[in-house]
Amino acid sequence: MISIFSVARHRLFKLFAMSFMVWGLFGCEPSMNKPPTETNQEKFEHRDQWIASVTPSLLTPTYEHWALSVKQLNQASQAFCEESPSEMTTDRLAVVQEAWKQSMRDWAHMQFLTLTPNRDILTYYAVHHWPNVRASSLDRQMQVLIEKEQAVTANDISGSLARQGLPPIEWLLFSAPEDRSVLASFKDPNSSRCEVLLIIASLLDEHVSQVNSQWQNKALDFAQPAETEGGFTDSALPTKLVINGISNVLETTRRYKLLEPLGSSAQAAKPNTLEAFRSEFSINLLRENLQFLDRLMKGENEQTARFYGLYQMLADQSDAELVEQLKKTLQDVQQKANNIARLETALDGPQRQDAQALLSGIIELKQLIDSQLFAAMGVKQDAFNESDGD
Amino acid sequence: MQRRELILGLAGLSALSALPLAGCNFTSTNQAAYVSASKVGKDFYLSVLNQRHQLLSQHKLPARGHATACCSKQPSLVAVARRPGDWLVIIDLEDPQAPNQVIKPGKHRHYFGHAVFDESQNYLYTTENDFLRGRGVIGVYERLSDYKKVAEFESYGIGPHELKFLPDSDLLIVANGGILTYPDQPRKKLNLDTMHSSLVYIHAKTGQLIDQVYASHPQSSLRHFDILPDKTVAVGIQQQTVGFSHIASTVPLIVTHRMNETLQNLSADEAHWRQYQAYVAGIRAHNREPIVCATTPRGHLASFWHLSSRRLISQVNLEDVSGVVFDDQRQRFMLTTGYGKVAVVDHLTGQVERLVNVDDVQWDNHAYTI
Repeated sequence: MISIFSVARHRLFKLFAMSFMVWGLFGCEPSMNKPPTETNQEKFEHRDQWIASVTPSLLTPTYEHWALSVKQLNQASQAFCEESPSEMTTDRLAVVQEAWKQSMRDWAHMQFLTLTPNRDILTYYAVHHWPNVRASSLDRQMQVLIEKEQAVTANDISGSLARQGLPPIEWLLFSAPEDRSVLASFKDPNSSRCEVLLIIASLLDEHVSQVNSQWQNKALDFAQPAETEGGFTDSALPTKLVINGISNVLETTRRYKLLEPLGSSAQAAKPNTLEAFRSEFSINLLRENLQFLDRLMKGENEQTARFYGLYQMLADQSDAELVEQLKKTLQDVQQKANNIARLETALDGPQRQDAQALLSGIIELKQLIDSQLFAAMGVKQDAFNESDGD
Repeated sequence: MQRRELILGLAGLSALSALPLAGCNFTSTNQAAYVSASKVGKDFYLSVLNQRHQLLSQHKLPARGHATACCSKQPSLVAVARRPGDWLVIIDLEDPQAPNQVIKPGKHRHYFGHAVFDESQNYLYTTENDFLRGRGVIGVYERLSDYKKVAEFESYGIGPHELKFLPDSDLLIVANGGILTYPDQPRKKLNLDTMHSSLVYIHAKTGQLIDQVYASHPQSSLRHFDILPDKTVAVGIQQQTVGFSHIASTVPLIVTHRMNETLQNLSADEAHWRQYQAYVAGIRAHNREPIVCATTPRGHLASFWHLSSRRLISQVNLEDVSGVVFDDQRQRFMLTTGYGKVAVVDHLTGQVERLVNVDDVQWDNHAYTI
């Protein structure tokens, strides 16, 4: 295994270096004035160069960051639960809570990649967890687990919704009975809250580590689809998966992050369907979604290193008008998301109109991507039966 | 339910065994010819077409549908919820304005998407999930008692999906897909490392297991099938994969079975199977010849096979193709797609002879002749 990883890493390094060469070739300034004389073949060359660049520069780091933050969450949980109850403090609990938030920020980026071939892995390990879990079901099952008289085992976790990683950990770190704090609940000698946290965090770490390993093994096939044996027979498939990933996240955002929580009227608002209502972190995650999209478009990763972004690629294939539309719409949506301090309290208060404006912005952005970006990239939106058959 | 109760519940069935074969031959009283679950905009329907593939009627469903069972005795259609739905909708074709009857599976049960009438057409059989115990069951509903659930028996496996009667018999064939699911995580597959799919033959009046054959590959999910005139069963497989492997999977995805024998693969080279991306959505048999058609929306193709030679005859590429029926009158296979297309194909050449676009309709997994 080690030698395979070494080879894969070496190849990835070469690819990474190549992606910067590609960037250098195309220059840092968008060539907006290029006449629309390209053939389809040339257009696809730009597309292939884009996927070759974005894979090592943004997609692979996204997997790595998520794996790292989940590992740190596991370690922070262990450190916290090793303390005796008298040494457990609000500050130490805050360290674990912050580690959870970082894992969720990185998950918000990963959400774009759940339509890549790693979808099956994420499904297999059930870490692709939201919005399928009903809040009341999770409440009920988690309560049973922490009140269990016998020692909680990994089997108990695997057989319940607690196996779904980050939401159950949020429940443990941010919810408590009305008459006590989360910290007091962790200190309660009759509660298995710490045992449950340790098992879930450890399982999640193990599963995410495997997801990351799988990706590392196949990232090169993804980046250079036409050049590898036994890999993708259709060179457009990786591009199709990424663009569908964007459309899918925007649909999830429209429907589950905004429309359903907003309800049909202020009275019908359903804050407990929000992605992270227990920690009141939902708007932060939505902003992280948009930030990932912004990076993908601009060609910037977390270290602000530049790569061949989607805006540049579209400009190089004479789609400058679409670039301007995307820039304007995405910027507008990001601004609307920044106007909301806390989504949990914006559903039925004076900020409801801000939440509704954000929903409109998301719809507009999705329509633009569905109606124009797919065509510009020469790929199709996932079809009805193809994407979710039975 | 105990076997004794089951036998009592189905005691009336034996007297009805001489009635005509199940099927919905009521095109003489109306023009309905084909039916399929569909999506229009954001809503889900059961859509009915005439022989010329024109939309005759659309019946709104509570959520996404899957298969349809049809009854000619009281011209009606039964739309079955896609898993893990908990409804059957009964649509009266003689009185389309009448409110549709909705049937529920009972506590701690949900449907797996398929249903079939027995030969008498008085009893409807459905595949269901007993999700508290993680086992598959077959529900039996009496049509003349307003579809009251009168019996239930084991499917002898997990995740039963399509079910059909072996012609001229009381044997119900059930494809146990083998995948454990739970309604709180409806699309999650909880047992991929331990799954074992099987095809079973069950006596429909006693619930007794007559024959069971397991998929040769542990992660092969036997999901849909059809029965040829000689009673050979042709089964389409959905291979469960992790990571990238579905894209390069070369596991044979169509097998055949005859009772008390083993499963037999159809032959094709690896490049052919790779096109399917590990997924067969539907499979349908010719009504006279040993020919079947299988569809794969992931691979955007339908393939036609001769079961005597066990070889591929032809294939046709259609975006998001999934539904397939054999049209007795035209003696052709008819295919439906998620892009609203209806195609009539010559299976010998793979040529599309007729292509109709039904505006704004996305055809769902399965289509049926009425």
